[in-house]
Amino acid sequence: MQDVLIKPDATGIYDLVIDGADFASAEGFETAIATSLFTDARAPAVQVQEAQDRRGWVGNILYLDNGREIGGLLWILDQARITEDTLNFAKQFAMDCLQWMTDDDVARSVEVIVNQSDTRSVKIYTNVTTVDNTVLRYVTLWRDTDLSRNIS
Amino acid sequence: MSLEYPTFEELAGQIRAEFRVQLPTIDPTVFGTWAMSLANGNAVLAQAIMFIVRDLEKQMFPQTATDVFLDLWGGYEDLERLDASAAIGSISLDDTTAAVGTTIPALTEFTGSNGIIYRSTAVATITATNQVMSTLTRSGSTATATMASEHALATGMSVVVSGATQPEYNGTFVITVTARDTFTYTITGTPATPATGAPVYDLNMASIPVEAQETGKTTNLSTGAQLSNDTYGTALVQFDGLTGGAAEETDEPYRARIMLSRSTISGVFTPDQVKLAGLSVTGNTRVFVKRATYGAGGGYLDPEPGEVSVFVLRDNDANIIPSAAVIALTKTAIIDDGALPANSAEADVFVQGPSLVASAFTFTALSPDTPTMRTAVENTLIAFFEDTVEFEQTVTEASFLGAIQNTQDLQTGAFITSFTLTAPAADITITDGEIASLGTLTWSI
Repeated sequence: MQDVLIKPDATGIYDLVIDGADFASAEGFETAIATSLFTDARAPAVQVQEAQDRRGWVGNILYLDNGREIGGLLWILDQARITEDTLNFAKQFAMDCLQWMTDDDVARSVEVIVNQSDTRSVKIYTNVTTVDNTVLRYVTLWRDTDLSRNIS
Repeated sequence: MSLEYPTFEELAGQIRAEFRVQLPTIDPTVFGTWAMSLANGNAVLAQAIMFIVRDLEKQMFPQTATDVFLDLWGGYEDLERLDASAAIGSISLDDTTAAVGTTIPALTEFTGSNGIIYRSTAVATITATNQVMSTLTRSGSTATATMASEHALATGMSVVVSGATQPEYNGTFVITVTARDTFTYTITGTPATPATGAPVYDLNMASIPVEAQETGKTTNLSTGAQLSNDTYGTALVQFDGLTGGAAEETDEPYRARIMLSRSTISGVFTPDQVKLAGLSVTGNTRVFVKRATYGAGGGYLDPEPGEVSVFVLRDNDANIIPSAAVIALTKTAIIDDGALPANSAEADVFVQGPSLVASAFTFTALSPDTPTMRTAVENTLIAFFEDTVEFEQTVTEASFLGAIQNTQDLQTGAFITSFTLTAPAADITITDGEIASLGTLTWSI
C-alpha cells in the first residue's frame, strides 16, 4: 500500500519525510500502522466518563456516519502502570484500530502481540499477512507518553 | 444573491484531488492511509474557517445580526437594547396588624407570594378612608358598587358598607374589585335594586406604591395577590396588578425596532416615530397609532389634528392590556422620544389599551382529531390573533378559516384535512378603539 512516508525524528516524534521537492512515499504498512495506532480515536462513555476528556480527532467526522474512525484508544493507557491487564488492553486497542486492514481487504490477516520491553515501554509487534500471502513484520516501540517510534 | 459554502465532503474531495496531482503514486481515498488523514484534517480546518465566514456574513446585516453585533447596529439608530425591568404598582394595606395613623416609611420591604421582595417608593399612612357610592345595584346575590372616581381597594379586603336604605346591603363584606372604580360583594336576601339612600363604604387603609427589587416577568403579580411585612401585616395588590416586569430585550424585538427605525424617515411625530417611542418601554409588544382627522371631535377615539392617539398591547404579560402605570410610562416615552411638535400639547397625547373583542371558537369536527393537532390549531389561532389581526380592523371569516386550514401538526407533520367551526360563524366586527382577540377555544366533538 503506497502512502506518504513518516518517520520518528531525533526526538521520537513522527514527521513527514521530504524527498527533494516532494513528500517521500513508501510501499508498505509502516505509515498506516503508526497512523492507526497513534491517532486518538474518541473514547466511548464507558471508558472515559467526562465528554470533554474523550479526545478524538476532527478529521473523523466524515466517517462518523458509518461508525468507522481512524485511530485507536492506546492513548487511554498513556498514564497506566504496565501490568498484565494493561498489556491485554493495549493488544485489544491495537487489534481494534487495525481492523480496517482486513475489513478493506488491504491485508489477509493482522496479528498483534504486545510485550513489555522495559519498565517504561512496551513493544507492539504487528504481523501483516498481505493479499499475496507475504508476511510483513513491524515492531513499534511505545514508550512513556510521547516517545513512540518504529524500530524496524 | 447568496454565498455558497462548500460542504466538508466537497472540501475533502478538493484536497484529495490536489494530493493526487502532486503525488500521483499515493491514493488518498484509501481508508487508513496517512494521506487520507491529512486530507480530512485539512478539510475540517478549512470548514472551520468557512463557519466563521458564514457567521460574519450574518453579522454584516441587521436582518441577521445577533448579540453584540445587533447592539452595534442599534448604535447606528441610537437605539439601545431595553434593560430588564422590575414590576411596579400599588398595594393596599388595612389596619388588621397596624393601627390607624401608622406611617409606613418609604423603602419598607414586603415579601410577595412569589417570594420576591417589593419595596415601597413613598411614605404612606393608614387612614380612615370612605367613598360615597354613585350606584349600588344587585344581580342575584351579587351587589355591585360603583364610585364616582377610582378607589384604591384590592380584592380580598373587608369594607363596611352603610347608608343604604335596604339593610341587606349594609354590613361588613369581603370584596372583589372588578374595575378601578367598582367592586362587588355577596349579600343575602333580595333587596330592591338599585339601592336607595346614600350608600358609602368605610375602612382604614393605606395605598402604597411599590417596586420589585428584582427584574423579569416573574416580578409581576396579579390583582389580589398577597404581600407581607412582619410589622405592618399583609397587603393586597390593587386592581391594576404589579406590572411592567420584563426580561432584557431579546434579539428579535430589538431587531424589529432597529429595522423600523432604519425604514423611518425622520420627521416630527410621524406615526412610525411615535410607534418606536411606544415600543421603547420594556414589555410593550404592539403599538398602534391612530391618524387624526379634521372635525373628528377630538379625544383618543377620534383624534383631531395636533392630537395623537396611541394604543398599546403587551403580549407577554398575563393581562395584555397595559396597566395605568405602564400607560403613563409609555406616554412619557412618546412625549420625550417622539419629538412632540410645537402644535401639540402633552395633553394631546392619548395612550391607552385597546378594547379586546374576545371571540370564542367552537369546533364540532376536526380531522385528524388528535391531541397534538388540537394543540397545533390552538397555536395557529394564537399566532393569527397576535401577528395577523390589526387594530380597528374587522377580521373576515375567510382570513381565520384560511389560517386554520393551513394548520400543520409539527409533531407528526400532518396537515389538517377538514374541520367544522360553528362559532364564530361570520366576520368578527371591530369598531373604533377595538382589536379582536382569541376567546375560549371549545372542542364539541
